[in-house]
This record gives sequence, C-alpha cells and structure tokens, in this order.
Amino acid sequence: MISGRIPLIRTGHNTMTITQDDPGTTVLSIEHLTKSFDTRTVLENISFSVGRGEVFGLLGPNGAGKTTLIRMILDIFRPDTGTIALFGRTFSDDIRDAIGYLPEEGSLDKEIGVAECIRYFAMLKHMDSIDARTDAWLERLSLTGYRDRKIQDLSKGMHRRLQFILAVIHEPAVLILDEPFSGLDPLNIKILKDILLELRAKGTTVIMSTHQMDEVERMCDRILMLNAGTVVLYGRLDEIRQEFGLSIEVRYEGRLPHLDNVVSISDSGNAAELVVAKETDTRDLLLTLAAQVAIRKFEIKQRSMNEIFLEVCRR
Amino acid sequence: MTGKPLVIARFEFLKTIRRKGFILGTLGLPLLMIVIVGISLYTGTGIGAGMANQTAGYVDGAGFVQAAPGFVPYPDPASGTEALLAGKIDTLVVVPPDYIRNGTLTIYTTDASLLGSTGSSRAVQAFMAENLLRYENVPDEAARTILSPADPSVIVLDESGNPKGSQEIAGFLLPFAMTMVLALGILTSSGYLMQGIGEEKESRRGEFLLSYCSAEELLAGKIVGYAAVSLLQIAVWTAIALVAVAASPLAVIFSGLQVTWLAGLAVVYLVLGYLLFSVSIACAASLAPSVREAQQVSAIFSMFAVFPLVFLQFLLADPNSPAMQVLTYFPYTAPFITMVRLTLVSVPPYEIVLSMAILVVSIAILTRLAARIFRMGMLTYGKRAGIRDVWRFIRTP
Repeated sequence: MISGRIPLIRTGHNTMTITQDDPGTTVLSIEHLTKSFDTRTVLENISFSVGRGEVFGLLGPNGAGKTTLIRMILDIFRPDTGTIALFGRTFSDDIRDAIGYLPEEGSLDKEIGVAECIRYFAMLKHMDSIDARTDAWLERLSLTGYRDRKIQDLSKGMHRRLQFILAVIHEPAVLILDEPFSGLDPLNIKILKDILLELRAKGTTVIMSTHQMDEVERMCDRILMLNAGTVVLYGRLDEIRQEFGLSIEVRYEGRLPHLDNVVSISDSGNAAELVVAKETDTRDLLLTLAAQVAIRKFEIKQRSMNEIFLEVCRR
Repeated sequence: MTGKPLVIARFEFLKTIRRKGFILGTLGLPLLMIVIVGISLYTGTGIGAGMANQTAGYVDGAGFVQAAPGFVPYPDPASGTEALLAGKIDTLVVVPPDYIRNGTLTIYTTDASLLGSTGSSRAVQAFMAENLLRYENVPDEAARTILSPADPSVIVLDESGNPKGSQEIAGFLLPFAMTMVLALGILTSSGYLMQGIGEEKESRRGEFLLSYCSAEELLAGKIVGYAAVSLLQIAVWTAIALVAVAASPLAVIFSGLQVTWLAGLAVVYLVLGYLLFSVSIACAASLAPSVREAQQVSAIFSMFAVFPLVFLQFLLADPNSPAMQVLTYFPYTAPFITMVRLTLVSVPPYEIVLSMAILVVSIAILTRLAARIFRMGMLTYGKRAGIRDVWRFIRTP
C-alpha cells in the first residue's frame, strides 16, 4: 500500500494538502442522490464512486441527467436527498479549488487577451505566479503565438484548447470534462488524450462525459451510464462488455438456419451480425452453422460500447 | 472584501474601463457638454458684444432726449433713415411728440434679427428711462436706485425663526447632491451590470464561472466591480463639473459648503441604496435571455431609481406628510426620500433608524434570494424566466 498526499491548492502563501492512503482511494463518493426540479425528477437514487487516478466515463443519452449530475458534483446544485463527498468531505471552497472543469458549451470573454484570461482564472484558483506555467501550456497546445492576442481572434478549436488550459492550469486533483473532444481536429484530440493519460499517471482523477464511445473504450477504466435519471450501467468497462455478451460476424453462402441462444440477428443475405449471450458456446454455434451453410468468415468480438449504448438506450 | 469577489471585481473593473464605450461616455459626454455650453456662451457673448458695439440713431420729436454714448441724434426721420440705409447706424429710434403721454415710440432697422433682441430692447429702454428721469429732475442717487431697484440680501429662517448660517444652507446641497449621485450611479452601473451579466449568460459562461466560485462570490464581485466603474465615471464627471463651476460665477454659491452630519448619513444611504438596486438589477439581468432584453429590464430599474423625483413636488410641499413617511420606509425610495426630508425638516430619529433597518434587512434577504436566482438564472438559457421560474429558483437548494 502506498501513502500519498495530493496537493490541492497552491496559493502564494501556502499549499493545502489532503491525505490519501492509496492511489485507488475513493475521491468522489455519491450515495442515493436524488434531484428534482418542481415535479420532474432529474436524478433518482444515484450511487457510485470514483477512485484516485481513474478515468471515469459518464455516459447517457441527451437529457439523461449527466449535466445535472456534474453541476451537483460542482456544488452548483444541491441534492434533494443523498450525499456527495469529495475526498471524504462535503463540498467546500477548498474542494472547489481542487477541481478543474471543462464545460461542453460556453465561450470565454472575447474582449480580453489569452494570457490575461488564464491569469484571471488562475487567480480565482488562488494562484499568483503562473507565467511560466502559462507559457508551457500554451506551447503544449500550440497557442504560443496567440498569447497576447484577444480571444476573439481564436478559432473554435483554439478556443476549446484554451478552455482546456483553464481547466488544468492549477493541476487539479479532479478533472471534470464535458465532451472534451468536441470541436477538435484529430491531431489535437491526440494531444489532449496524451495529456489526460499523463494526468492520470500523476494521480489526477478524470471524470469524462462524452458521446464518443470509441474514446470511452480507449480511455475509461470504469463507466456510469444514466438513462432518464437512473443508473443503467455501472462498473468496469471490460466487465460491462463481457456482461453484454458477444458479437459474431458471419459471412456465409446458403440459407441461415434458426439458431438457439442467439439474442439478436442482423442478417443481410450473405452476412450476419449475431449477438449471443456471454455463456454461449461459440464452438457449438460454429458447428451448427457450418452444418447448414458454407462459412466464409466467423469472427467473435466483444460488443462495442456503441452497441451497448444503443441497446441500453432502446430498452 | 477579500479573495475571489475581489479578483472578480478587479477583473470586471479593468475590463470595463478599457471599453471604448466607457471611455467615450466618461470623457466624451462632459466634453460634449462643454462644447455645447461653450458654443451657446460664445454665441450669446457674440450677440451681446454685437449689441454693445451697435450704434442707434434717434429723432427727438418730444424734445427732452439728450445724446448718450451709442446714441446719435438726427434732426428728422428722413435723415435718420438715410443714415440707417447708409449703414452709419444700426437702428433708428423715433420719439414722437406725444411720447410722454402715450409712451410709444418707433424703431427702424435693416436687421430683422435685432427686433427680438432682449439686449437691444433693454438698451433703448435704459436710454429712454435715463432721459425721462433727467427730464423729471430726479436726483442722480434716486435715479440710480430707480434704474437698479433690487439688490436683494436673502435670509433663510429655521423653524425657531432664527436665521440659518451660510454653512447650513450650503449643507443642504451636499446630501441633495449625494442623492443625485445615487440616482446617477444606479443609472450608469445598471447599464454595465446588465450588459456584463447579459453577455455572460448569452455566451453560456455562467456554468464555467460557477465552477470557480460560488454564486454569492460571483454576484458580490460583479456588484463591487461595476460599482467601482460607476464611481470612477461619476468622479470624472464631478471633477470636470467642479473645474467648470470653479471657473464660473457659480463658485460663490459653493464657497460655504462644509461637510455636516447629514453628509455622513447621505453616504450610508448612498451605499445601502446602491447595494439594493445592484442586487435587484443583477437578478433581473440573470433572468433575461439576452443582452438586449437585459437592457430593456435595465430601463425599468433606471426608472425605478429616478421614481422618487416624481414625488419631489409633494415632498417639497409637505415633507412630513403620511405618504412621504410611508415612502421613507419603502426600501427602493427610502434613500432619496429620507435624505431630501432630512434637508428640509426635522425627521424623528426613530424614522431614520427604522428606514435604515428596513433597508439593511431588505438587502440581506434580497442578497440571499438573489444568489439563488442569479445562479439558476445564469444557467437557464434561451428562454425568459417568469414569476413561476423565479419562485422555483428560490426554492432550489
């Protein structure tokens, strides 16, 4: 077991730290959270936890309650019932300063300069001297040439990168990202992903809300999926994928017979996508098929997050 | 105030004072006023100077008029008209033989603009009055008094019938001026607040900002920041006005001005009034879906700020009337009404204390509600929040 102290806030005068016993220690713990607006229940009995150094995916269709959940983690809204604990404590100003947030929407003040903007938001996180850090981040995200330009001169992608800098400039212990890759080209998506992996390696907890399932598969350790305000999936990514059975791509000649133990079939005449339960004996299935049609291809895959997402949303 | 509100206030202040609109409004407006006043003064002086340089001819049919500087005698109307047409004189005054009885005379001129000129009429009237007094053998001393009958010395009495000192009279001006400053401050800062909050809401920046600070801190920072902007603007305007007044004959009026206890009270009311209006304006701005609509709401609050002026006539007529007493306790009218009443009559101390207490409690309650309305309002995009929404915002933890 490793003991560690995560620096949370750096001010001109002192450094506040919160002790954590283990890299896997729970950073965020939400229990039985419910939130309603008027008579409409937006979140109902939500419970989950996120560990230190984890990349945690927050998934769900539009209107599932993700944004409300993020706003509640940020203490913009308070729960009707249930608890939210960060670092084992209820929300406070210290905790707010330990969080970095990249919202999906919203533009920065266009009239001010890039460096001035970074300085302002860093000061709101109690940071005084940030020039060297600013230069380093601007260089990392290819914005050095725009240091003294006004924000109105930035393209959409540059603006998004600047917002990312604002979210990480104070080296937050928890980084909450809402659709972090939207508006970015593939090159900058890669740069951002590299940075996120570096931050994770340093112990930063990343909570990422996104609809890009391929990125979820590549980056997330665990996920929580919401639908209509309730938890529909929660756990390790590999376990969830295993839970949802297997997908078998079959190319064949002949007439596809009726198959037992197949959850669903998408047949297009000489190719079919079969979804089978996790306990299905795929060898038996192959033999059954081979007895009746000429098999050209039989490829067993884990189901993609995109498939799982669609299936869960359709329920 | 320390920490995040101060950072926000500083940022909003520096950002706003760099705007072209602010610079133009702060320096351009008084300069424009100076230019307008200067032009009118120059034009007025030009007319006056023109009149002073004018020469009038006169034909004395009544037989009592004597020549004076600027007035040239002519033996008959024909020769006078000839001189007028030749440009030797600007006007010709023909005094008829029955002038003493009828008091009517005729003025000829080639410049029609001189007909309506006050200076021209006064010059002829003074000329004729001097001649009449001389004709009636009025002594010079009496003649001077007749020509300038009033050089008043005004004495203002207090409620006991004792004359008020000049310092006390001047003391009236300071609190009154401060109530005007409150109205002006609210008018200017409400615009900035509305624009600032409206822009943030329109650009959906509120959520991002609320991840850096609480709604209370954001609200406090903005109010203080824009108050500083407003204060700077008013200070510049006041400084320019003071320089202008000091260089004018009006300076005498302000020479006896001294700070009295009323001024201290005015400062307290000024601060409380500003806070009340600012918090209200910030809430209203956060509820408006766009900058444009926010500015429309701003106009409502601007009207609210100058609303007490509507009662000024009644206030001056009877400062202690029941209506004015009620308005003393109403938070939005309390600062102006109370201060004006204080400068006019003796207001019972309990009324002052009660009015301030109501104002303080109103600010405390409104600030608490405002933070919730502001937080939720900033996160409600694209639609105008109604009364039901506001009620929901207040109840949302």
